[in-house]
Amino acid sequence: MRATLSLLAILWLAASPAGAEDWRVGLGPDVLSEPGDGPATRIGGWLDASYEDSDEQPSVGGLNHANIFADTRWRSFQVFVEGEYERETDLAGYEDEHQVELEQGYVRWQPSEAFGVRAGRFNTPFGWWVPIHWSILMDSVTPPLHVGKEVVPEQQIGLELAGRFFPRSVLGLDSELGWSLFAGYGQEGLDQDRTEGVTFGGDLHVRLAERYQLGVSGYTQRNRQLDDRRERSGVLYGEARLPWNLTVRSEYVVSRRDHVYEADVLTGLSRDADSVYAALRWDAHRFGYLAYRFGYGEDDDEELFTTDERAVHTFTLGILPRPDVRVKLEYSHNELVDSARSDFDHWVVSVGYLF
Amino acid sequence: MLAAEPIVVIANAELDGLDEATVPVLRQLFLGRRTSVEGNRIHCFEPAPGTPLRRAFARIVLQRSERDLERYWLEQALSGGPPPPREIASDAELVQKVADRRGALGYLGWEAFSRLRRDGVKVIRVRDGDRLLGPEHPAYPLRFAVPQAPRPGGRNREE
Repeated sequence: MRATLSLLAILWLAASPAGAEDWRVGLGPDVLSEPGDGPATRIGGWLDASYEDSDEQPSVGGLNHANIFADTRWRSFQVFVEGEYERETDLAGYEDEHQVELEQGYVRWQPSEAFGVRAGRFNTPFGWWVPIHWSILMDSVTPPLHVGKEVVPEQQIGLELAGRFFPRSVLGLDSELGWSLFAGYGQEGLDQDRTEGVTFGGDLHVRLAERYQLGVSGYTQRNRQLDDRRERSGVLYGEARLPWNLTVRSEYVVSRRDHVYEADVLTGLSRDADSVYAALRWDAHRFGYLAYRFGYGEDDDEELFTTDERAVHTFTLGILPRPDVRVKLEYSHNELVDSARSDFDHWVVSVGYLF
Repeated sequence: MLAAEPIVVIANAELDGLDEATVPVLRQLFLGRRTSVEGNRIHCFEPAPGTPLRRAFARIVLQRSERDLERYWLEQALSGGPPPPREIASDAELVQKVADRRGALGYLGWEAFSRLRRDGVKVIRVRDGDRLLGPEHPAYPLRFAVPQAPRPGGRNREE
């Protein structure tokens, strides 16, 4: 914790050139929108609380996340630091988390749209859900299977090269091509669970006419925590904004794991972990939306050392009375396929506030 | 009765490389995905939210509702993405900002621009295929609806 706060302070102070007279600090986006000669810092964050219940466990409620970030910009440089208090008692079958941590802390140099460098701790550029990551921004409360089961780590500690291009047209539609290559290093001492050693990954996506997005990401690492196995994961993802205020989104994750044997017996968690989801959101009203997500995939229980398959149907009613307030009411039905566990239902009400 | 008034896109007169733009390029600039043109850094300004002008620009150029835009900019803020354009309360202040800041880009209604037109500001024409359209052109694609004052003595007629 002390190391986390020290790193946070160092990174933020690094954005303040000695003797800078023009350093602006503020809460809203305007502090970054108004171009000036000196650095500008926006302070922001969000918090959310929930009450949830399921067939498997007693109900629980309370503050889940309190997140604060500082975003400093000066010319082509950016320093972004984010700290988080997290208390997730996950009745949906994912891992509980109770901790205060440095969620992200990186320095970015972006001399042009086509090329930029980011170094530090940042959200893993893998697919759609993982890089965005903040539950308050998502259509649903519970994440899809590959996020809940952490098929890839939430963050990387390392270096990323990234940029975007604007080809004249693709299939007759205006287009944007984004790319990312990253490498990192993880171990438990750096608060990188399930990782040991060097990691590599990349992402390539295309956006067409501001309505369609299609991308592919790849990632490889060594997982020391479980079987000391090498994992290779890939995701094909897409989004389409359709007429009648409909948005469709999907991610198909493939994860291949080296087989690990104990006493010539293949261990139970060496199975590959593939999953897929497809989600539909209807912005029925400017103050609310309805969303449905179907998910299917491998479901590892690391304590019981078993792997099942799970199908999940998630229904979410989102209410946005103000842009900075998010209320979500959600029900999900979980079907465990060929498992000793019974199917179960999960209910959750979540309220979030951004500032 | 509603009339369709052109939305005039203006830029600082000293900004090189941006005398015309397609709607997709304007979208990329005002969504923060593109921050420079021909090596020149672009700073975008826009009117305050909740006006017919702003809603029309969001719908036609950015292809989003104002509520979608609020969500988009929140995602950008929490992921270290680009900041939104600076919101300016009045047309006069917006024109002043564009005139004063090299690399500035903004938009306002035709009537306001005609009234506030000044040195230091140039009009960006919109390229639509092979055609280069200014706000006076009948086929100019950027327009917003404004209430038309009733004429004395009878119903309004379209000219």
